Amino acid sequence: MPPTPLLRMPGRRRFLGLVGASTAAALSGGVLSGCSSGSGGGGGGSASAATSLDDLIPTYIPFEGVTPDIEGLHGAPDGFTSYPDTFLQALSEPRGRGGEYTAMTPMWGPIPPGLGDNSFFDYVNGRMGSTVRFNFQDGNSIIDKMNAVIAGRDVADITMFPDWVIQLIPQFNRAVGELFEDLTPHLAGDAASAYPLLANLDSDAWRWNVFNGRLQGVPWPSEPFSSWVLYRRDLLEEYGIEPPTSPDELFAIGEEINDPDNNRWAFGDFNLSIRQVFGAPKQWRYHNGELTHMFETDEWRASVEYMRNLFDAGLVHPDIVAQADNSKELLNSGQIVFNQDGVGAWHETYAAMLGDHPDFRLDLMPVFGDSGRDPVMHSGDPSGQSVFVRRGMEPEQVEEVLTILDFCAAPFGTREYMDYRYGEEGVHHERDDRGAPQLTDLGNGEVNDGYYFLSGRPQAVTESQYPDFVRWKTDWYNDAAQYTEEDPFAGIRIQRPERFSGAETPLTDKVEDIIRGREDLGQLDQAVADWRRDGGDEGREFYLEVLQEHGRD
Amino acid sequence: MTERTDTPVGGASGPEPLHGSPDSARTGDGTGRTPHAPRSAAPSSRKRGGRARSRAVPDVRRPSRAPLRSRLRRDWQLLLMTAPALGLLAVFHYAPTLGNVIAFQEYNPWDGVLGSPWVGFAQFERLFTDARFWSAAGNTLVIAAVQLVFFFPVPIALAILLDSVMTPRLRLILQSIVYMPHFFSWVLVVTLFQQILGGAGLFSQLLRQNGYAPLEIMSNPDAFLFVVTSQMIWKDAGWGTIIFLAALAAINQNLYESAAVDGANRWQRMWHITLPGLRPVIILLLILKIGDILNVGFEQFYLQRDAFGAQVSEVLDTFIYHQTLVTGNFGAGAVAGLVKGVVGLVLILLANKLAHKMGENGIYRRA
Repeated sequence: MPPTPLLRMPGRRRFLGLVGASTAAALSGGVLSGCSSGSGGGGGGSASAATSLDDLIPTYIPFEGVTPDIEGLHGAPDGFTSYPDTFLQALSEPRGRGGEYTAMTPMWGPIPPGLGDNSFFDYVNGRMGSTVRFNFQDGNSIIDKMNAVIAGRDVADITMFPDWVIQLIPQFNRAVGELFEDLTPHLAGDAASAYPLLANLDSDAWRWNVFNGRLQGVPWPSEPFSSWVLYRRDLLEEYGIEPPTSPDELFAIGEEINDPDNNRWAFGDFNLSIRQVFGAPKQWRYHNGELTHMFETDEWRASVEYMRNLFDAGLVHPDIVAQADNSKELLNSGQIVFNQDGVGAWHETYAAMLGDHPDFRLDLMPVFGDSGRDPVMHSGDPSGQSVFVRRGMEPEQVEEVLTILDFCAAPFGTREYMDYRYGEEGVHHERDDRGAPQLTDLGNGEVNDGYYFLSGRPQAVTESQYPDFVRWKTDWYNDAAQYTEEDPFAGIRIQRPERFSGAETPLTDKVEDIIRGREDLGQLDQAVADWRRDGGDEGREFYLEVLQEHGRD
Repeated sequence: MTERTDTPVGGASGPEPLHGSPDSARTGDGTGRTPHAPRSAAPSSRKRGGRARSRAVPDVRRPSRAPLRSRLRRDWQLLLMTAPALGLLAVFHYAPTLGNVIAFQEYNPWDGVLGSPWVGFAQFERLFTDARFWSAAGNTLVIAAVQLVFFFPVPIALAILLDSVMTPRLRLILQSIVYMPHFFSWVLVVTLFQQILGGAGLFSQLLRQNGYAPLEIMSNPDAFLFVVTSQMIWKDAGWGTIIFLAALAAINQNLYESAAVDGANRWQRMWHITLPGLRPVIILLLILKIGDILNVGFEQFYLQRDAFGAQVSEVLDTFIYHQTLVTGNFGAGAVAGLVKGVVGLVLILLANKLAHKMGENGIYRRA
C-alpha cells in the first residue's frame, strides 16, 4: 500500500516530525483522537447516524477484478503476492465529455510540473476523456489552508479533505452542504451502478461520508488498523528468540535483549497498542445501558501500569523517554527492537532500507491478550479522506466528475490503477522481472499522487516486491481482525463536544508523566476524576443521547 | 522628575550608538529638509518646556512650525516614501489586530468575524478559571525570570570579553563562532542537546561504558530550567553581543587613555567607563525584554514539552497553541493572546517609566 494521506496526519504535538508518515498515525490510532477533535459551535457536538443511512449510500456491487492470492478475513484487506502479467481493463472507453475541472488536493512531497508541462497528466486525462487541473496544497500545512478555503468559500470543482482535517474544522457540518454538491441523487442505491468502481467501495466508508442526511463525499476506505507494534524480526531471529505471545513474555524479551552499553534498548513507546493488548475499549464500552470510557476501565489502568514498568525497568530508549522524534531511525538502526508505528510504515521502511540491507526484516508483533484473554483491536475510522464536488455545477458536469472519480477508484490489478498510479508503461514506468512497475526518469519527475487522492479504492496488500511482505502482513491482519472491537458507535460520524475533547489533554499529559515516571501511579485516580468533572461526564451524556437517537441503546 | 531627564540627555555618550553617530546627527541639522530637522530642534524646545510641564510643549513648538500646507508642499516626497511602509503596517498589522474581536465571540471560521455569535466576556471567564492557564502563566514567568537573570547578562559579558580581544583576526573568528548557533533552528538545537546530553547521548554512553550512571537531565523536569537556559545561551548569546559591541565601539577611547594615565586599573576602567557607556543600551534592551517577558518563545518549548512534561514546560504560547489549533477554539486562543499583549504593554510602560526615573531615555523620549 502506498502512503495514504490518512497516515500523514500531524499528531497533536508532533507536526515537526511529519517526514515519516506514521508516527502521527500512531498518535491518531487510539482513543487519543483528541488530536482530531472538532468543536461544535456552541460547544455541543453533533452526530450522523449509520443505520438510517443505508438508503443514502450506493448499493455495494463487488467488482469482479483480479482474484487476490490471499483473501482478507473479518474485513482485513486482500493480499496480492505478485503483479499480474496482464492488467484487467475495468472501464471500456474514456467516458468523459472533454470537460475541464479543477481539483484541490494536498501533496506531500515536491509539487510536480503542472498541466501543459506534464505528460503524465496528459496521458491520464486522455484515458479518462476529461481534463483535471490540479491545485496542490502543501500537505504539512493543509489544515490551515483548508480552514481558509472553507472560510473563503473558495473550493475547487473537486476538493479532497483528509478526514482528520474535516474533524478539525469547526462547523464543517454546516459548510459541507452549502459548498458541495449533494451526491445522493447521483449515487444512492442502484444509481451507483453507472460508476462500477465507486460501487465497489466499502459501505462503511460510504456511510462515513453522509453529512446531515446527505451523501456528500466519495470515501477512501482505510485499512482496519492504523498502528501497531513493529519489531525487528531479523534481530529477534539472530537472538534466537520467538516473538512474544503475552505481555509478560514481551517484558521478558525486553529484559533479555536490552543492552544500553552497546547502544541497544528493547523498546520504543507503544502505549496505544498495549491498551489494546489489555483489552481497553477504543473509547466507550456500552454495557447494560451504561457507557464506560476507556479511562475508567481497569484494562486501561493495567496498560498504563505495564508501560510504567517498562519505562522503570529502563527498557525504553532514552530518546523515546525524552519524546524525541526519531523512533523510526532507532528501529532501523537496531537501537531499539520493538516500536509502535503506523502499519504503513512497514513497507515505507522497506523501501528505504532493503536496498542497502537486504537482510533487514520487520514484522508486526503478534496479537495477544493479557492472561489468556482476547485483545481488543481498535479499528480506525472507515474512511481516511473525502472527495467533494463543488455545488452549483450542471448535473451533467457532476456526472462527468463522478466518472473521473470512478476511474480513480480502480482497484489493484486493473489497467486504470496502473495508469493513475504509474502513468504509461514504457514511458513513465517499466515493469521489472517480477512485473512490478519501476518509474523511469521521466516518471520520477512527473508521476504524482494527484489522481490517487481523487478517490479511494478497496485496500489491498500489494507490495510483492518485498520478500515475504504480503504473506506476513496479510497473515497478521487475518489474525488481528478477528479481535476487532465492537464499537457501539461504529459508523456514526460524531463531532465531539468541545469540553469533552478539551478535557482529554490534561489527562493524557498526566498519563505521559506517569508512564515516564515523573508522577506516581496514584495520581491517575485524581486525573481521571478531573477529566470526568471537566468534560468526561458531559461527554458521556452526549454519547448516550447519540445511542438513543440511533436506537442502539 | 522632568528636570532630571534633561541632564543626562546631554551627557557624554548617551543614546548616540542607537540613534546614529554624532556625525549623522550633525548632517541632519545641516540639510534641514530631512525628517530629522524638527526633531533635532526639539531638545532645545524641550529644555525650555521641561519645567513648564508638557502642556507648554505644543505652545512652544507650534510657532516654530510652518503651516501645514507649505509643510506638505515641502515634504510630499518624503510622505510619499513612507506611504508603502504605512500601507504594509495597516494591512498586515493593524487590520489583523482588529481580528482580536473574536476574543469576545464564539468564533468559527465558517461564520467569520462578522457572523460569529457574540459571547462577551465568557471566554475570559473560562480562561481565568482554567488551572492550566495559570500553570502556563506561572511557568512562563519563572522561565522569563530565569532568562532575565541568567541569560540577559551573558551577551554583555561576552561582548566586553570579545571587545578586549586585541587581534582583529582572532576577534573576527571568535565572533563568527559565537554568532553561528543563532542561525540554527530550534529543532536542530534541541536535537543536538539530546544527542550530546540525552540519556543515549554522547556523555551518557561514555559514562555508561565506564561504569557510571548516565546523565538524565534531558527528561528530568527538575533540570528543565537549566536545560532551556543553557540552550538559549548557546544559541543566542553570541547574537546578542552585536548591539553591545556596537555600543562599545562608540565609547570614546580617550577616556580609557586618560583613566589609565590617572592610574585606573582594568576593573576600575570597566566599572567607570565601559559599563556607564553601555548603560543606555542595557536599559533599553532590558525594557524591551521586560515588555516581551511573556514571549519566552514557542518552538523551544513546544519541541520539549513532552520530554519534560506539561507541568513545567507548558508556557503561554504552547497553551494558546493547544487551545486553538488543536481544539479549533480560536476565541479562547485570542483571549489568551490578548491577555498576553495587555500584560506586555503594561510591563513595558512601567519599565519605561522606571527608566525615565533613572534618567535614561528608555524606548522613547519624554515629550
